[in-house]
Amino acid sequence: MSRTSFAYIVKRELYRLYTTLSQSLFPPIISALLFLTIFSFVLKDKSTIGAPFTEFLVPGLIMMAAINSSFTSTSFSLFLSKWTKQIQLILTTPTSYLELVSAYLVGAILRSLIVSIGIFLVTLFFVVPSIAHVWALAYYFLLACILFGSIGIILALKAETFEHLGVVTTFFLTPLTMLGGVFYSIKDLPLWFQKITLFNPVFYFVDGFRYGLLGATDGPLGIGIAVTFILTATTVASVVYLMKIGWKVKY
Amino acid sequence: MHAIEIKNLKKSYKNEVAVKDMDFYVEKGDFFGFIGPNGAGKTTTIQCIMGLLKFDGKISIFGNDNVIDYIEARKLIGFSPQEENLDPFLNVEQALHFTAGYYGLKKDKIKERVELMLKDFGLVKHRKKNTRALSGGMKRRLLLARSLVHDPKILILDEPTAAMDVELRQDFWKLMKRINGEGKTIMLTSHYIEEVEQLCNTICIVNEGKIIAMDKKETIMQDLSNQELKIKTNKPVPSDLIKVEACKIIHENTHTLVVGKDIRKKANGIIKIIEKAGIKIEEIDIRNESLEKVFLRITQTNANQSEALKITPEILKDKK
Repeated sequence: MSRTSFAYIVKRELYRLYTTLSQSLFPPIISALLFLTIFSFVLKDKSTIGAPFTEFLVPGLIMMAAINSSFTSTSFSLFLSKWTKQIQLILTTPTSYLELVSAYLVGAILRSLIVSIGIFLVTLFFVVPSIAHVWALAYYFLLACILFGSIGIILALKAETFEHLGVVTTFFLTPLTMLGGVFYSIKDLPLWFQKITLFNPVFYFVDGFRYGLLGATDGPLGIGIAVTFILTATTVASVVYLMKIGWKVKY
Repeated sequence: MHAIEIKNLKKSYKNEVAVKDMDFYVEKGDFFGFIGPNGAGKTTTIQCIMGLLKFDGKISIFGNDNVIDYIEARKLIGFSPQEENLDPFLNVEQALHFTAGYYGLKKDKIKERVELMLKDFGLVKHRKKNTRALSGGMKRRLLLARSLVHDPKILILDEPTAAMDVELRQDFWKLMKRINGEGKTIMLTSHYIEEVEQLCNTICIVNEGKIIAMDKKETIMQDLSNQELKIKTNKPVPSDLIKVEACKIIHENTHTLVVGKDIRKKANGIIKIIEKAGIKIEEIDIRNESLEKVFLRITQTNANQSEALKITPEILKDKK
């Protein structure tokens, strides 16, 4: 792998983030700030899985932002490259498909990290979260960024219009994150809804990341680790394969 | 070893065949003109060379297979596409800087090459302008600069002078001649046949996905071009006076036009016949048909005529 080529694609991704800060960094931080403001007043006395509600909310908000940021980072960047035919430049440079996928994913991870740090700093106005298990924070954060960054790549390859990206965000990603236990414990749901939630991958990421911060989980941790790992590994392998065959890019 | 070698290249889009079993090579250091009417398969062939399309057949770049050894192959080529594809987030300097980075150049080398490209292409005072803010001609210059920033051995230019004004085009020609003189192999497609005639050493004419003629420019002109003999006389030449085999003769009042092969050799005979008939010749002009006329004539004929033209890639190989 040519380190220079990889580094320049990542650098370009970060530069794009820098030029679009008002659209990419500030909205998730402002949203998190609003959620915390509202819920810290309305539900300040509520305790969920043994933690005050505001503290319970923080990992969910960070994970939601990380998922959205990584998905948006790869899907928008790659689709825009296709739209402007700039992808042709990358595809004619000595950049391997593995290098290309890795660079987009590293870009997504870094963008999500910056957004997450921003949200974490905002939460300090409301609560000082403790860190129970660093490994869980790192594991779930990285895997969430890689998985949803990879899904973003697949979508960008498949999409033919900007509308396609919007449709998936509205009808797929937003419902999954909203119903993934960001704002509630699944134990508060009816049993049938709890069972459905166990099929939502976002739930495992939120729950695992919450375990990293609070040390308590809503669902089975072992299953969460297995589900997130298998899902991420399968999706990354699919992305690498699709890039290799030039799916929807080379005709 | 050839700079570019293409063997049995075939490319279809759904049910439409764009390239039919194309077979040719570009010699190292050559200035290779690749011309044909719209839809002839030029851009498709170039996109196959660049690895932007899937295809059947084999393409090698200085011996590197462009599918198997694609990393090595791509390092050797600079490509200026027909359609502008500049990064909308970057300014001129950054566009060059990042491209050099994608090609794996080291930091110091990137700085040196970017400065050189900005200077060579007259982009120094536009270096901080966003690529979206550039005029069509400037964008074209930047695309060319970008294709050369990593100092490739081969330069592939797909309609590089589209949207350029006459002055800029002439500057471009000078620059391309200089670059070719420095040893770079250049493959050029252009709608301006005059440009190909001016710049290229070898010309390949394609139509309907097939090569219909390919050889050194001089040979193409000699083998394919007709000559025109224009004679102005003091009175009209009778239409049945001159009979020349395989030539077209047009009379218009006191002007006579004879078009065909080897007119230079036949001119003396024609002049003698006219003078013998007591007609005074006032002006004579003999010219070779331009490449543009050759191009239009042979691309408008049936594709089967390629056999009649007797210039095929296979024959070209035998000659060499």
